[in-house]
Amino acid sequence: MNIACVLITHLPVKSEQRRDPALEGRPVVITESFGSKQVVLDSSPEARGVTTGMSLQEAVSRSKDTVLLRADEPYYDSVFAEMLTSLEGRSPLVEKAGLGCAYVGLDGLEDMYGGEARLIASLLHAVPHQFNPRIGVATGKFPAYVAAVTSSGGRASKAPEDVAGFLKEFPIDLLPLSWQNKTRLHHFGLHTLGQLAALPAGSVQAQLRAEGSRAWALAKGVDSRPLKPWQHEEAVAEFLTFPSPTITRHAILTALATLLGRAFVRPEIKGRYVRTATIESRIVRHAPWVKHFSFKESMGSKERALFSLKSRLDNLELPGPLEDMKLTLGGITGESGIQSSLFSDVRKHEQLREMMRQLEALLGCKPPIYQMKEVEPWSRIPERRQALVLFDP
Amino acid sequence: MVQNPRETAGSSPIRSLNQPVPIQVEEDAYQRPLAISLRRRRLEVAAIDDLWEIDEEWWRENPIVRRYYQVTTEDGRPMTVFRDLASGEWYRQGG
Repeated sequence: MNIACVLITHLPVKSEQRRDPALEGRPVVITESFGSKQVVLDSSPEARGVTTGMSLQEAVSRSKDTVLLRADEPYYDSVFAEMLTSLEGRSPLVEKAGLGCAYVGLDGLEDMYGGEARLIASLLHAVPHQFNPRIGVATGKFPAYVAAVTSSGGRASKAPEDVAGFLKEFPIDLLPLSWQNKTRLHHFGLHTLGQLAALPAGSVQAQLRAEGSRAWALAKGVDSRPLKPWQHEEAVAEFLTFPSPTITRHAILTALATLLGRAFVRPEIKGRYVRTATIESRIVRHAPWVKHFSFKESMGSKERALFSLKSRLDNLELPGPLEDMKLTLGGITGESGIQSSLFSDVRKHEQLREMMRQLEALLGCKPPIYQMKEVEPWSRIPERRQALVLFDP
Repeated sequence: MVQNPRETAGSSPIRSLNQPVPIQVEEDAYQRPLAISLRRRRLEVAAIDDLWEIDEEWWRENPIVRRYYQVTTEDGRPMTVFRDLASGEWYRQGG
């Protein structure tokens, strides 16, 4: 099977540069929280000496005048999802292997595009040029990935037929192994894929168990893993910017009501139900604020969704004033109605009775809850018209 | 068949709404309200907007005989008051 690996290196930095072109050519370091520590998620080539996983303090000491940014992972995901959608327009088989790495099935497409070269060119054009994609083509995912790593930005390369020979000089760090196992292999003096492939499979498996057996096969150029098509969730997103940064619950709920109103009239959602809601907001000098909510039962209207979200936002603690708000409704179901109970009145009464029992247990006496009843609404004596009756559901 | 529990009946679980509240009213020679005292505040009656009488349960020991006045006080508040024609007492009534 012919597979292309589309690799976008430094996707977080390139995404930030697309959002703010002023960052181009400047040393940019993107950090993420790792427990209580801030570590480097990605950095631009201008931030010399900075590597992924380095602590923030070390990164700052190595690269002066660095622009520090907090990772906006939902944004990077959405940027990459755009590219995957674009690739899906070229091939029906696209797998998302991680942020910035996708595998594309090429079988049967060459004739349609008029040759392999045109097909690859089409894949390169599927990704915006500022992301400089690299493409590697091979008969398996791992050799395709290695081929992509060796090609330069905006270019493609193809692994030769002798895959094992092609791979042998590359470092074992390219293997999908845990950091501990890579370190172990280096301690054994095994630094290249060729060295690993030269060992008997049993010895590698004995040391690294199942992971070792798979790594050995990959080092020999054998990768029969099938492509797992990307399953993108259908979602509807709405966005607004606050006139001024806000932190008040009232303003946030008003914005949420507006976004829900807009989302529920969208044709993708109309007459259907949603199961999840995600709220994302930007906060100055902070990582974006993201809250994910799953509804107990699917929601088919703005009012019901807002009611459910309101109660959950009661004890809201915001890290700072929100600049904007993006609402994404997901888990869209095909339901066009919900079966209501034939005995809904009975159920309501049971709920009320239970509530009264709980109150009675709490107060130690009959709860002083009354219900207004019309007694003699026709009476000329006003105090005879209505009465308060002890509530007994 | 439901058995009689033979329990003593408790206090009534029904409460009347809009019970009349006794008030102090200054009246003129024709027993029309001139001023009403509400929470230690004297409010002059600016206008009598409506007037009606009820005479109910005349067969009972304490018949209900009232003259109602729908008035507007000096601060613009509408209010319904009545004079119990049997006792001569004034009451305010909501509802």
